[in-house]
Amino acid sequence: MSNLEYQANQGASLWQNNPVLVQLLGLSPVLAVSNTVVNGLGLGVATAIVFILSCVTASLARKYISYTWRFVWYLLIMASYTTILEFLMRAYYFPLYQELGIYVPLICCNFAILIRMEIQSSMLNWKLTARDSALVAAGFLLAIVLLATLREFVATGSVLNDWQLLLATPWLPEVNQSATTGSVIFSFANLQPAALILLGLIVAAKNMLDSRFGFGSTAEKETVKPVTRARVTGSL
Amino acid sequence: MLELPAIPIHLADLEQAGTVTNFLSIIIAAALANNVVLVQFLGVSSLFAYSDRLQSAIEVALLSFFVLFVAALINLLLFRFLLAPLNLEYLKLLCFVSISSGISGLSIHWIKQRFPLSLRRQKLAFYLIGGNSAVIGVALINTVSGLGIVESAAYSLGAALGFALLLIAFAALRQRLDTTEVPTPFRGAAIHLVSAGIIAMCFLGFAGPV
Repeated sequence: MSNLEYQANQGASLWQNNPVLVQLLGLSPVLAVSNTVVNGLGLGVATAIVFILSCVTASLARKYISYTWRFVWYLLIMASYTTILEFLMRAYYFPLYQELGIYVPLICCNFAILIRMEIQSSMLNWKLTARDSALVAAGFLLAIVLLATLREFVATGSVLNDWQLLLATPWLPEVNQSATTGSVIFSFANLQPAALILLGLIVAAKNMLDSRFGFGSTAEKETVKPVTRARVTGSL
Repeated sequence: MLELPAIPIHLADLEQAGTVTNFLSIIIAAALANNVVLVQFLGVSSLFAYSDRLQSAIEVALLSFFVLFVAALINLLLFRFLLAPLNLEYLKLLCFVSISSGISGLSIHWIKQRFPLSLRRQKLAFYLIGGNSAVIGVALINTVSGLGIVESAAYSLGAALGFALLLIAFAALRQRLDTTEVPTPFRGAAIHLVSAGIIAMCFLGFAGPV
């Protein structure tokens, strides 16, 4: 069993087995659109909706999905929901949709969802599936909002600079909906390396908190064993 | 805001399109300066999930190079000649997903006959390559980048090269990283993320001063 399967099999939980902070799954949207809180919140909520809907659909259609081609069916279910969501977003939240770019259609290839759907294949009831996927989706949302808050605060010194993007377009047509950026203090935080480094710092802070208060998962408690040297040459 | 989707840097001079240098510059720009994984953030989770052993990382990198390039080519032709003329753009995601997972399914079938042992070791990883966000993301970028067909093919080749290169390089780096003494909270995922950030800084350097 590979490391991927082992980590995913740990069971759903918001903090101890967070899909992003512990399992490092579904990282690409988290890193790419976490430059402002509004973008992170928008993509996180969209991912959570697709997550729950496609998990429930897969569990209801379990009888009809052939085992060999199950990943193709999972991807097709996710792609259908993502297409619907993409068009709804284009209709109601067009400025936010433009900000998110190709990461809205890319919700359909989030590894966190795919692996969770594979694990949930043993669950009998769709209610159990919905509860489980809601937990994991909440963990995803928590991680992306945490990283986005940190990044926007480091970059501009304030958060929620472009909150008007969260208002739906048809009800407030006269509001000028374009992305405004606050005065940038530390522009390195907007670049790609800073996203990776800040996420690494968040993971390290989580590990420290877990070891301090003792509610961490077992995965990071493993210590590096010193190498034991065995004599293999010469006469023994 | 990041430049989304990032278009290769040397594309402004499209008047010399068709020359060999232009192809080379597109390939190199797509592989290094606009690396799929660390600059455009597509398929980052596969970078961390598959790089725990160098041997398995090489296997996954070779397979995903093949799947990414072939799927991007087929998706490109499908979009340009079938979906766009018929105004069926809303079906593009479904088509891309089914084609790329179909290609990965076929290549898994081939691997099962030739290399059954490596399939058994890497079963989940091989099955997930068709749904990798780098594969779908390159196909989506090709639909919006506004390049010609041959340039888009060169871009896909460069993107596939960059993905495979980075996966192998990161696995080799992780071998050294896992035996060094790291402060306790940083052990495991955190130090991998930070070192990937430092590699990303190097890749940004290829694009020249901002």
